Amino acid sequence: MRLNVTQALSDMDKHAVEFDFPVLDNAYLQYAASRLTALRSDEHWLITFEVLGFSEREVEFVNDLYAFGSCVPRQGFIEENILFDSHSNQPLFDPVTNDFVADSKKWTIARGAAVLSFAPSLSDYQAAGLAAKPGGGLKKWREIELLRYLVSVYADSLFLTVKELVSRFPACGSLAVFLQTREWEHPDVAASERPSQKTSVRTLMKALAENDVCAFDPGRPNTHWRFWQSDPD
Amino acid sequence: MWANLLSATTTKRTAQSVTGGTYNQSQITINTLNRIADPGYTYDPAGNLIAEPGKQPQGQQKQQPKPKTKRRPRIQDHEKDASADLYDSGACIPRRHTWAAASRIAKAGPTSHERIPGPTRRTYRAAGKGADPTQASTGLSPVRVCCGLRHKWVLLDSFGQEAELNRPWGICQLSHGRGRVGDHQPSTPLNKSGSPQVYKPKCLTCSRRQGGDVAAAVRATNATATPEKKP
Repeated sequence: MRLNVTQALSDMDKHAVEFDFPVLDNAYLQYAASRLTALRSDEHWLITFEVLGFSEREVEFVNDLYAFGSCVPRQGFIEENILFDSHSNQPLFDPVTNDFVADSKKWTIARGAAVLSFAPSLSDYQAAGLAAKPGGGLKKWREIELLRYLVSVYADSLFLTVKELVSRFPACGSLAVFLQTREWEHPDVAASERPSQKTSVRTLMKALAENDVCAFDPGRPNTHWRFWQSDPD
Repeated sequence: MWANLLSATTTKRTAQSVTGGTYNQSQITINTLNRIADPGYTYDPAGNLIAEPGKQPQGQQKQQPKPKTKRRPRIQDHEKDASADLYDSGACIPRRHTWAAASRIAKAGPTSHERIPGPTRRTYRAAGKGADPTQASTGLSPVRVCCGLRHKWVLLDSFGQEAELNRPWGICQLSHGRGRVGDHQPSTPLNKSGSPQVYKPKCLTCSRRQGGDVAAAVRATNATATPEKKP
């Protein structure tokens, strides 16, 4: 596999300048979680970023997919996938105004054919980092809190499977997962940081080039949603 | 000492002769206005020679075609029209310009905090009109929308009309099958003083990019408002 690390980092930087790189505090996508997946084969390499969030504009819970690699025809933002739906018996949104109307004590979502109901207690929300303090109520109850709670419950199952990921890039052929993580130091793109400035990204490229996963250094992980709150507590 | 020339006698050299060797014969005719009267010579009323055989008349010379360059919208263009869509206005503009323009034109709309009502993709899914109605066609007039610096111009079906804008998703026929979303112009997070906003459809990539732009502009605004205290 031929990987020009300098060129690849430069390409990512260019995308970041145009915000065509995950901006975890994107003004239009409330952030819940993200995952980095690196894949490689003898011929190709591929890095994907998945960003789970609530798209205010679309009134949808989405997974935004960004990709960079030797076999990606158009790098940067690839697509969004709808994570789950509101259920007609207990809608999350007002059908006319689209306002969030779910009850924090009991709510339902439709994920594919499955209908999943939740009745989290305060301690459940607390465990997810959504309650102010023990014994206190919910700090806020918005769409993104619902998704953040689901992330704490479902973790990786909200993201695409490797098979689903690879199927998006037929030109890559058969790729094997090289590395997958939800914790790394992500560049603060909105503050003009560039991917190449981050140890995590630089060492990831180096690790891919050398086929040595131990060369990857995640840096100081900042991918938890707490790091990217636009309205901090 | 200065004086006006009242008359003068000149000897016109209208022919030449040689006594030996070979030469190219050259003979011209001069008229009473002291102008060359031979065919092909043209003068303007002031007496200036403007054309002669083998040369284009002055002022009518064939101009070299200028290389065609696509004009990027300038910041001023957007400032004149606060509702201009920074990404769908005809051409993508460099981020630094977008950022600066967004910072300057941003004003708050009275309804900017409200969610846009109307049918969503969810509505269509629930109505059994297809898993992804963004692949459907509205039958409205096509418009061209720029989908980013690295993306080609594509012909889209669009909402096209204000009456059709009242929903947070759009219809497109992008080759890569992406949907469109509506974004406030000027952007809501930067709208703090109350001017009207326009809701416009745009492609998803552009919307995400604008979201990043707005995040950066908000950061810059906040940094300006609350400068860090130096120790």
